[in-house]
Amino acid sequence: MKPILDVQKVKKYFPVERGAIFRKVAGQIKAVDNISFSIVPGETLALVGESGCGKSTVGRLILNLLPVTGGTIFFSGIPLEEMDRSQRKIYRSAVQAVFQDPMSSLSPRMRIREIIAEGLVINQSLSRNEIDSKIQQVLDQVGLPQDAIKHYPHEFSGGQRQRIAIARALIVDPKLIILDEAVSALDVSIQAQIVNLLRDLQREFHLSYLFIAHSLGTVRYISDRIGVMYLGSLVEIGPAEEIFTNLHHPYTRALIDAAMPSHPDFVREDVVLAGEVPSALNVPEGCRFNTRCPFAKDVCRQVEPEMFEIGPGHFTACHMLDGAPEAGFFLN
Amino acid sequence: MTQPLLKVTDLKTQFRTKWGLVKAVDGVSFHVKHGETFGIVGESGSGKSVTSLSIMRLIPQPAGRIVSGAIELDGLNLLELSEKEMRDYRGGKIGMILQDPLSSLNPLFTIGSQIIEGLRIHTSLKGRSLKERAIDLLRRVHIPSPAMRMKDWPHLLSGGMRQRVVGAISISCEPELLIADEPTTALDATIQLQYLNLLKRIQKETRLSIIFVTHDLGAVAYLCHRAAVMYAGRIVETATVKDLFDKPAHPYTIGLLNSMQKVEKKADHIESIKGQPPNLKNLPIGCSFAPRCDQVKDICKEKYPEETELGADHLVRCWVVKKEAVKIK
Amino acid sequence: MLTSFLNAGKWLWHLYVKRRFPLFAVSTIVSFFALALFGENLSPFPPNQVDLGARFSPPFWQEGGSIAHFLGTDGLGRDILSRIMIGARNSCIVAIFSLFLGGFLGTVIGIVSGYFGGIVDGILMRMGDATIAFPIILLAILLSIILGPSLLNVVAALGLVLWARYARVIRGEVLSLKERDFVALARVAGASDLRIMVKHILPNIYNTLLVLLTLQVGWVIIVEAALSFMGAGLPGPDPVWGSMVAKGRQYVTSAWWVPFMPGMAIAIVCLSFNMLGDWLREVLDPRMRQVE
Ligand SMILES: Nc1ncnc2c1ncn2[C@@H]1O[C@H](COP(=O)(O)OP(=O)(O)OP(=O)(O)O)[C@@H](O)[C@H]1O
Ligand SMILES: Nc1ncnc2c1ncn2[C@@H]1O[C@H](COP(=O)(O)OP(=O)(O)OP(=O)(O)O)[C@@H](O)[C@H]1O
Ligand code: SF4
Ligand SMILES: [Mg+2]
Ligand SMILES: [Mg+2]
Repeated sequence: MKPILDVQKVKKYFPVERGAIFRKVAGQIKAVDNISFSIVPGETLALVGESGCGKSTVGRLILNLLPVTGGTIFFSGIPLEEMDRSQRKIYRSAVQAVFQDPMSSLSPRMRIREIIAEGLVINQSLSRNEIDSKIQQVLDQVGLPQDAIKHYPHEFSGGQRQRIAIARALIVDPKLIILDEAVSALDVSIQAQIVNLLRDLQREFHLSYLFIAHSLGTVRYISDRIGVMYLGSLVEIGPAEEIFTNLHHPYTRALIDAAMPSHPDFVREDVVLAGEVPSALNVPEGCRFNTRCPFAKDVCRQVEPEMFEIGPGHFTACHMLDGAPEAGFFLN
Repeated sequence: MTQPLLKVTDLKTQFRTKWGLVKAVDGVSFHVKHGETFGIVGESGSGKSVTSLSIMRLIPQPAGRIVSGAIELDGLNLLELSEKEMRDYRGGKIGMILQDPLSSLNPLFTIGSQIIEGLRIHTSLKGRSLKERAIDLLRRVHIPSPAMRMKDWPHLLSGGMRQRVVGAISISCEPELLIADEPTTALDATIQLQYLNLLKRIQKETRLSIIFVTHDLGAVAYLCHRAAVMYAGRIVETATVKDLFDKPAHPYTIGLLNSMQKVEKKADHIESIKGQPPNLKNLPIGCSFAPRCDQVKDICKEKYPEETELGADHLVRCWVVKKEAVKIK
Repeated sequence: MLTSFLNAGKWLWHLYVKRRFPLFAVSTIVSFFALALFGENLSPFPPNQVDLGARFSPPFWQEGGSIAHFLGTDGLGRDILSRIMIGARNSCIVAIFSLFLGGFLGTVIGIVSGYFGGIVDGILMRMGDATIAFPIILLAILLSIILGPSLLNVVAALGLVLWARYARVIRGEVLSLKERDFVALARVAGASDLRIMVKHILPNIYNTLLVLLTLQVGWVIIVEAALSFMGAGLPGPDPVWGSMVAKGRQYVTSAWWVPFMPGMAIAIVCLSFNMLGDWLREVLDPRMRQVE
């Protein structure tokens, strides 16, 4: 299937400025460093990784909220920067977003009607009646009462607000929705409601999701493929079950082992990853995981491993894995 | 040995707000045994933090007030102590770790001086031995090169390090009880695991009792021996962690466990609890979970359920369970 | 009908008791506006009516005072109460216009500066700093001396001084507002910068603006009084509180009420506006409304 979104070697560096009067660039935060992946229609790709590894930045780049430092993002085969006005307009409806904080993602002084309709009002010239009937429709789809439109965001609970945010994204018939920690801030019982809603909507409208999250339980439940990020770069990407059952990269292992068990019988005491994530200002030489990796050898400290295919559609970047292009010796 | 370290009986804590009385904690009873990790799990606003603050007697005055109940530590009711006596307990016999590691440390003092400060107040150590003790504490919470770190400012440390420093301060005076209110919520997965393991180890070494407050059932499964599930200011179920996961009795506990998204196995479908979280200012009469409960009976809407004992250490407040539990026996 | 009446009553009761409604301040402010509107019809005497026979008549409670000249008369025998009542209009006009001017400029500049940041922000904010650092009264005096004393000039002077205060506070709010997710989502939806500033950001600073405006009424009245006091205020025979104090100050020892009464008027009105502003700030605090 042809990908709907194709991210090719994308970089985003943030300059760090020092000095009070004469600003000079003192360094660069490599928030996103050479990332490539694609998403096909109807698929959920999850991005996981620890705080600050660049997940949200990837989302913001795709949403065109930030310019890329290098690389290209293709939507339906067209590079973002080469889009003309009409293509841009289509793109703005086709790609929507739902963010983490249900408090901050709805304008506090707008009524729900206005919030949900904003994308329509800006991009399409519809009559009031057409807009109203579309609003009715999406409210039904996300499970909100019809009279919600008259109220303000603060009158709703966190879960309901997230439904409003979803309705707002849904109303413009998107193809791809960036879900940046869309359920992380919600209560456990509400999280399941929203995740189920997202799954149902996906089936009904054949949506693609970029699901950014740090909760691996949710990720396993909802995603078709998973990309694991570490310090701005993808270290492993592949089919979800493959990642969970047949994982390869040492960081992926550590991350999955660190997830909390769902039952006391599943508690393991052994595995602990030492140390902390280095600063994105100062990415280690060679493999960026080598400072914490229990398997690191000299080559890891010198040569940056390249992505290679370790199983069907399953890519990873680690020197110590069988089949790795550079070093290619067995991982014990 | 049979006597628990901490016994909380019918604790009620209320807040007077502009919108009326908020019964944040409404008749909570539980106990914590020596050397045990007791989990308090519940959703946002269920009263977990207010319960732990009540034990420390740190409820913000005058809006908040402990209305009734008893909090007995080794048989001594903390609610009857004078404020001055209570101050010796805080940071002495009872240590506390809060959710936000940044605001728990004073940005104007080095971490060394903040640890020493606590030691100076609660122990008789002086001079050099104070400093040595502080370095030793940092080493025990796995801070690398502790002697150098003593002179660091809080903002120079990462979130995980800061939380460990807070941990070092809270165990510095060898407390008998440590209250940890969501200490890992702000931390990354791998750092959270390191921290929980640290707590486990400290507990094994010192036979300290821990109250671990969280909204994450997984963390309860990982760390706790027994746990209480809170809903709308009340404890709806208390059990050993094993029983809680294997034989949950309260429909809310069952709902929570069903809506857990498991990392060990891909689920085809996850049951969610219907409805919205309760509004403490407007609770229904009867069982507060009734509007969301799928087993609700008429009596649930009229009277708050009494406590039913299902087995050793397994208490539940639900009308429906009562009948079935009797049947099973 | 009855229920709506009862509800209104309940609401007032709620405002007064639960939220410590500043009744005194609001009644003063309402009377202030009433005087500004209807002062001429209400005042017992025409403000400029000279009655040399009743020069320096003290307030009624003092020996020699009369109920007719409730607060006494000045050196020309003009009724002080009447002059204060009429003077309210001038203070009110100056306050409204200069606050409107300053508030408008400040809001626009604050939003633009905070929203776009960068060089625009740098230049605008340095200008603001310069304005704030300059002694305000001196600046206003200079302006009205250069431009000549007139209502328009006083308003212009005050407005040009005031904008920086608004701009600075509003810029601060915009800086945090523009980082909120709803702004990013508006951009995703394709909203223009203008739309974001007007529809998403502006409504969120109304509260701040209202509080700022209220808190500065008092300040404007005082500065206006100070300007008049120094002869750089409103010209003409019509009474102005500031110049009443100024002209009366030579009689402080002999006829204290001549400068004291208009001074009191200034003090009470300023105090009331400040009380109202403080109350508004508390009631409108977004942190408090989020609890509900
Ligand atoms: N506007 C910005 N200016 C400078 N640095 C930034 C900016 N936005 C992000 N960064 C930096 O880029 C890195 C990646 O940030 P990003 O928000 O993408 O991480 P994340 O993976 O989403 O983390 P989290 O899980 O905490 O949301 C971080 O080091 C962050 O400090
Ligand atoms: N200082 C306060 N004033 C008024 N109400 C308060 C205050 N502190 C807590 N509450 C109320 O008490 C209730 C319980 O709050 P608490 O902080 O214990 O919840 P929690 O279970 O710790 O939730 P979270 O998981 O969000 O930390 C809430 O409804 C809250 O609004
Ligand atoms: S390349 Fe080396 S350091 Fe990096 S993950 Fe693999 S073994 Fe570890
Ligand atoms: Mg993020
Ligand atoms: Mg809490």
